[in-house]
This record gives sequence, C-alpha cells and structure tokens, in this order.
Amino acid sequence: MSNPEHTPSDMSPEERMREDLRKAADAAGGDFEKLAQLSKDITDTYEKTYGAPTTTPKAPSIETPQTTKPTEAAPQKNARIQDNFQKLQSLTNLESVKQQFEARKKRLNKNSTKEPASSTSQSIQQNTIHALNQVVNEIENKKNQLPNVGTERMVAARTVKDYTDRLVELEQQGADPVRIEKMRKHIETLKTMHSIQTPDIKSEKSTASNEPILDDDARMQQSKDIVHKTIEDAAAKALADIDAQTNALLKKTPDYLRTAPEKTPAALVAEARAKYLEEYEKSFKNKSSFTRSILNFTHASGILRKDKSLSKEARAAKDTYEQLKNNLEEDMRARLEKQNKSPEQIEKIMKRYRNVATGLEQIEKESGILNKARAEAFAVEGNKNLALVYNKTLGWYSKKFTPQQRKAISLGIAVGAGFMTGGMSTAMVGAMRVVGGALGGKIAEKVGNALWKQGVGGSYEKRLEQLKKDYMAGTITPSEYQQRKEGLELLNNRAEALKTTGVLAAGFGSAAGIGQIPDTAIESLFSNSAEAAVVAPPAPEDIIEVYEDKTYKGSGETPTATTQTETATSPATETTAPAPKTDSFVPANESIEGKTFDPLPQENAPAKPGIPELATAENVTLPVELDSSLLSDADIEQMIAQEQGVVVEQAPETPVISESTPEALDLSPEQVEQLMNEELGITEAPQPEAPAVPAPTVAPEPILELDPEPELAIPKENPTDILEQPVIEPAPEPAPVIPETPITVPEPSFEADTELGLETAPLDPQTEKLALLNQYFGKHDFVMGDYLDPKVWTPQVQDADAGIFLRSPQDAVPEQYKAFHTDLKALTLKYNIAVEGRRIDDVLTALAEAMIAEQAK
Amino acid sequence: MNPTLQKEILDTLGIYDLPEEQQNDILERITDLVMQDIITTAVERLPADTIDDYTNLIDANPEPDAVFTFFEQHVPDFDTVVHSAVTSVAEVFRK
Repeated sequence: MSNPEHTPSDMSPEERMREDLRKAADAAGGDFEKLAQLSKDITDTYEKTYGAPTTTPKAPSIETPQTTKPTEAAPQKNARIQDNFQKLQSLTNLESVKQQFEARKKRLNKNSTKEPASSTSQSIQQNTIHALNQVVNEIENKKNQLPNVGTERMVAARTVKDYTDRLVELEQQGADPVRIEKMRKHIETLKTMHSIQTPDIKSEKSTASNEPILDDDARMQQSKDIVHKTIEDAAAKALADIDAQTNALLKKTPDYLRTAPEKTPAALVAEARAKYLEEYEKSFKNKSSFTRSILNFTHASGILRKDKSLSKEARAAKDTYEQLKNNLEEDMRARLEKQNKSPEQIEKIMKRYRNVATGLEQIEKESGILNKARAEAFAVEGNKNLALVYNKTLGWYSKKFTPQQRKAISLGIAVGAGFMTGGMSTAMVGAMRVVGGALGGKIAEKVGNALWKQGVGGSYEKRLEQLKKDYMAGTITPSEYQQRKEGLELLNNRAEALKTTGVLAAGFGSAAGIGQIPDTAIESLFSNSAEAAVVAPPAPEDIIEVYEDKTYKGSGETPTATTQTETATSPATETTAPAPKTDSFVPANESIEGKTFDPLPQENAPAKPGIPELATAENVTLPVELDSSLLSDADIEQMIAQEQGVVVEQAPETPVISESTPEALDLSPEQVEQLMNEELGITEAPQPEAPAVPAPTVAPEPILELDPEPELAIPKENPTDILEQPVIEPAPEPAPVIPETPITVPEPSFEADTELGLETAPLDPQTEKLALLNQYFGKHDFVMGDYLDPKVWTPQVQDADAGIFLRSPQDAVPEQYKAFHTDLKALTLKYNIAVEGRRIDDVLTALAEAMIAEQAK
Repeated sequence: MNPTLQKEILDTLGIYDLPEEQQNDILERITDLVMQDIITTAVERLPADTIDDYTNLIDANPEPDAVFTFFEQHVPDFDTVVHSAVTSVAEVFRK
C-alpha cells in the first residue's frame, strides 16, 4: 500500500494522490480488480489524512467497468436504455405488423376460394400473398436476432465499447504499452466470445464505438424498410390493377349508367316510360275521342309502325324508352346467364317479361288517355269542383303510397283478382294483410268477392282444359303436364278455401291494418299454412258445386272424365269450341293444330314428391307401382300382410268410390252416400244379413270410420264429403261391414242404451265405441255429425285433410258445443288422453278405447 | 312477407325468375293501374252531395283505407268499379 510519507514534499496532497494512483495502476498491470482496490485504498488514505478533496480525482473507468460507472457513462447509459426500449418497441411493432399481415393473408386466401376471380385479380392476390409471406418471414428472422442483441451480447458489446474508449484514451496519454496490450487482448477475447465485429480498434473512436449498435439499428431499419416497401409495392400494384379493371368496366358501361350511376336500369326505364306515356297522352290531347281510340289501338297493336300520329316529343320519348328498355333486357339477360340458366330458360323468362311488360304498357296507355279524357270532361262540363277533387285525389295517391305498399297491394290484388289460377290460403292473405295494410286486403276482398261471384277468378276447369290441350298439342311434356296439373289442383284447393273463408283479408276485418292484427292470429295462420293450406267450409252453393264437380265427376281434372276424352279424340271440337282463357303457363298464341301428341299420362300416376298432401284422390288410390314414399304406414303394413299370405279383407261387396273408377262417375250423390254409409258401417236400415267381417290380422291402429284413410279411397278434395258422412250416431242395428282393428272386447258391461237400440250384444268394436261415446255425450242436444261438420268450425281448427283438430278442447268452440267440450275435456283429462293437435275423431276413438279398457278391468 | 308465400305468388304470376327490380317494377305498376283506375272511376261516380265530404277527406291526407271505406259507402256499385279495374290487368297475366 502506498504511504503518504514517501511522497515528495513539494507535491500537494492531491498531486501526491494522483502519483500514488498512477504507481498503483502500473503495479496492478492489467488486473482491474487489483487496480480498483489499490485506487480505493489510496483515495481513502488521502481523504482521512487531508480531508475530502475539493474535486474528486477522476477514477479510471477501467478499474471496475461492470460495477462502477464512469462519470461520462451516464448519458451513455441513458442512450443504451433508450436504444433497448426502441428495439423492444420495434419488436412489438413488428409482431403487430405480422399479425395484420397474417390476417390479410387469411382474407385473401378466403376470397380466392370463395368465388372465382379474374386472372388479374388472382395474380394480385398471389403476388400480395407472396409478398406478405416474405415480410412475415423477415419479421420472424428479426425476432430471432433481437433477443441476442438485448442480453449477453449487448452487454459484451457495451463492455467492448467502454474498454475500447478507455484504450484509446490510454494510448493518447502514453500509458504503459504492456497495460495497453493486456487491455487489447481482453477486448479481443470479449469480441471473440460474443462474435462482436468492430472495425479495427485503432481506427477512429467514433466509428469504433458506435459500430455494433448502429449495425443492429441499421438492420432493424432495413427490416422495416422491407416491410414498408413490400406493402407499398403490393398496394400500388393492387391499386393499379383495380384502376385498370375499373377503366375497362367503364368502357363497357352504357352511357346511361355512367351518367346516372345512382339510378338503376329499371328506374331509368320507368322514368323513360313515364315520360313517353306523358308525351303519348299529349299527342292525343287535341284529337277527338274516337280518333284517340283508333290511334291508341293502332299504336298498341303495331299497325301504325311509324308513329306518324305521335308528336315529335312523343316519338323522341318513345325512342329513348325503347332504347333503355332494350338495355334493360340485355342487363336482365346477362344476369340470368350469370345464374347459369339455360338459353331456353332465359328465353322463356324474357318472353314472359316482354309479354307482361307490353300488356301493362298498353293498359297504361289506355289508362292515361282515359284519365286525360276524364279530366277534360270535368273541365268541359264546367264541374271545376270535381276536376279539382280529381286532381287532388291523384296527387294524394302519388304521395301516399310507398313502393313497399304498392308492391304489397299488388300481391293482394293478384291473389284476389285471380291472377293466379285460383286463390290462396288465408295464411297468405294474412301475410299480405300485414305487409300491405288494410287497403291491400280490402282491395283483395273486394276484388275477390266480385270476381268469385262472377266466376272470373277461378276458372280452374278452363285452365285445366287448356293444360290438356297444351299437352296434347305437344307444347308441354307429359311430366310438365302432370306437374302443372298437380299445381292446378293445389291452387284449386286453395281457391275452394278462398271462396268460403270470407275471401282473403276479410277475415281480419276491414279495420285491420299494419300492426293491428294480433301476432297470435298471424302465427296460427302460418302454422297451418302454405304447406297445409287451410280448407274452409264451403258455402252451401259451393258445396253443391264441389259435390257435383269434384267428387263424382272427377273434378274436371281427371283425364278419364268425359270432357277429357272428347277433347283428346276430337280435334274438331277444339277448334270449334270457344277459346278457353289461357293460363299463365302457356302463351296464348301458340297453335295446337297439326301437332301430334302422346296419350295423357295416367291420372293415378304417382304424385310428385314435392306436391303436398293437398293433392287429391290420386294420392290415396294406391296402385301397386306407387312409390313407397307415397304410401301410408297402414298401406305398407297391408302390403306386407298380403305378401305374407295374410288375407286382408277389402269388403269386396262394398264399391270403392274412386275417380279412377268409371262406374263411380255415374253414381248419383244419393247412391254414393248410401255406399259410403255402407262403407262406414252406418246403415239406415237394419242389415241382419251383413256378416261380421273377419277381423284382419294386420291393422295398425284403430280407425274410426270418419278417418279418411287411403283404404277408403275417398277423394280428399272435399273435406265436407268426408266429414259429413261419418255421423257418429249409433246405428240402429249393429252393422259392421268394415274390417276393423281386432280389438278383443269383452262383453260390454255398461248399461245399453235401449233408446239407441244397442241392447243387442255382442257389439262390434266400432259400434261399441260409438255407443259408449253416445252414452257420455248423447245428453247433448246435437247430433255428433253436426258437431263434426266443418262448417261450424273456424278454419284455424281444421286441417287441410279436412280433419278437425283439437288444439284445446276449449279452443274456438262454437257456442252450442261448449258444454260438450267441457265434458270432453273432463273425460280426456280423466283418461289421460292427449288432445293437443289431434283430430277430434282420433281423440274420441282413443277415449272410447280407454273407457272400454277400463270397463274390461 | 314470408318469402315462401311471396315466391309462390310471384311464381304463379310468372315473374319469379325476373330480377327483383323487374319484379318490383311490375308489382308497382299493377297497383298503380288498378288503384288509379278505381280511384278515378270512383271519384267520377261520386254523388254530387258527397263531393264536399270527399274533398274534406282528401284534404286531411287520409289513410288509404279511409278513402276506400268512403267509396264503399258512397259510390254506387263499387264492387263493379273494382272488378272492372282489375280485370284488364289480370288478363295480362293470364296470357
């Protein structure tokens, strides 16, 4: 240890301390720890001897580079912290950028698989994805490098930097070469260990000290530049492609779209049409009414091709209109092609559109002229008040009706007016009523009433006749015929419903508008709805009509019917007969003469799977070749039984009423009623000779007579027929004629109702059930058959198959049956019979069986 | 409106395959033709003593239902007016 006594006396204490420090440094050589310790001892000694120096001697930073920071290292430390912070921030930013790129990549990949893109678009996407991949990889590389910079390597680099600085300083001070060499070796060792590359230590200080950090920063910046450049390049390329595509599209875009992009082609056509009609009407303003009528007709019919009678303005307006209309049609055609429709389909659609559009245009012309004439007449007559009102009304109309209302109203009109083949269910009407409001429904109601009364709207038979003609003329294929016929039947069923349910929206009341109809009412309608249209009770006159036309004459749609045969075999009849109204399926102007045709398809051919249960008796007449999907469970079980050799009685003595049975067509209603009664086991007179039919071994479930199962082959078109027949009155004599479920019934233990003539035992199961039901319900002063009459029920309680559902025993019950329903409810509760959604006959059957089972116990 | 129901109507009218714009255009034209015909004919047939009431009604910017109800009450044979207005348009769709 140095001693102050050995210091020259002429030196100040501070100078002596420095000298001691220098000697100690020389003694320590390259040993930094030893040097640090000697330095500390000397400083302490001098402080104790002379007190704290006024200025602290500068301690060599080389002494403790890791632990003791040199005074000039403070800003360097801050700089290092700042550098590290920036690097970490860059790392975070890079991660964020990477995530964004990954997300964009996903979107691009998704888009590329969603829809076929153009080649240019695909190229853009591929390039962008490739660029993004590069960026993401670069980011990953940077991420892998950054941790080394921030940890050991960075510390080592800092140490190298500090030592190098000190080394340069010592060299400049002319320090001991041995010491300098030791420090140089130490620095080189650090550099080698941590792979730190720096310029030659002897080079310029600034370069040597900043190089490692600058290198990392530069590389970081380089990465960022790559990212930015990649993004910019991709974006620029995408923008350029988009611009190119846009320009290409613009070149193809018609002028009318470029000049008024905010208007749709249809709107432009509508505007042009309105302008044309306006000018058209003006052209007729100064002509007499007779001349106007003639000119109007000639223009409409195309006789006047050059429109010489039109004003110049009207001709110009017409030209514009025609041009826009053509453009619109081209646009429509392009859209249809995009939908992958075949040329035939497109042609058919376009033809239909042209027909409708031309027809409407003609009416619009007539209407416009008529309105002009009216206005003029008011003015001429001097009835200014009326003219004012007239104009006010037109103004009110144009302002009051929104496009949505007009659309909804037109749907109501379309249905009510019989634009459609027949009509529609009340569910549809309800829906339109809600959308279109009261007016649409009211118009529909008015229109429907008027047209149905006059037989204009329905015209089912005429349409069917036309359909047959079309088929026979070869304009439609057999399958098309069959399909359309089924559609007609479906619609006709709805028409029947329409006729008798107060016509369209009337059921909702004229005051009902948007929001005034209870949601539950709409929901209940929809629940029955389009798939199972509500069939309503026909009005008395309609019942007669349906009774005659549908049930016994094949409802007109049966090709085996007389009219069909005549039509098929007598072309002369076709040409001489009055032209039937053409339906919406086939253009009226297609001739059928001279064309050959195939025989009509069999009427009892299987129905299309898509046609719901509203299809008619064909569905329940079961030929062997029928698709099994059309068979009921009972049918299938019966067929299985037959295959197994089990004889299933078909009551051969009972004629089956079927449309496809020619004999049946000649039966009078009375005869049929009698046959049905026999079929149903309801006979008016005692039939002692009627043997009990052996019970079939296969009968899936007990079926009351009123259940219109397929075996009965009763046409379903007229639910009334079905429902009116099965009067659940006990037969005066047991007359079991229908094979029935082999329920082993013990001897009835209940008191027989002598008044009903049920004392004769044993009773067959059906009779027993009926008797039992009457025992409980007979006290009610109505006949069960009346109760089952659908006329007394609201449509909601009935189903399309003409059954009566019991949603709840108290639900929508007519007043006169409420007491009965109370009893029924009590009994169903007592015997735990489910009623929700079941048909009344099913419920009664189940109830009777439960009662019988209980009595058997 | 329930899409199924609307589709059924449009399909039966033979315009279901058309683009929606054309469908709407046709439907709105139907309404315009029918309604304007009904309204103008009804106005023409209004009895003279109801004109003032009708004028007051129209001035109040009534809901369509109110106007229709007025016509029902005062226009003789209003059913025929409606029938006539609709029949010609209906024929377009029967072709």
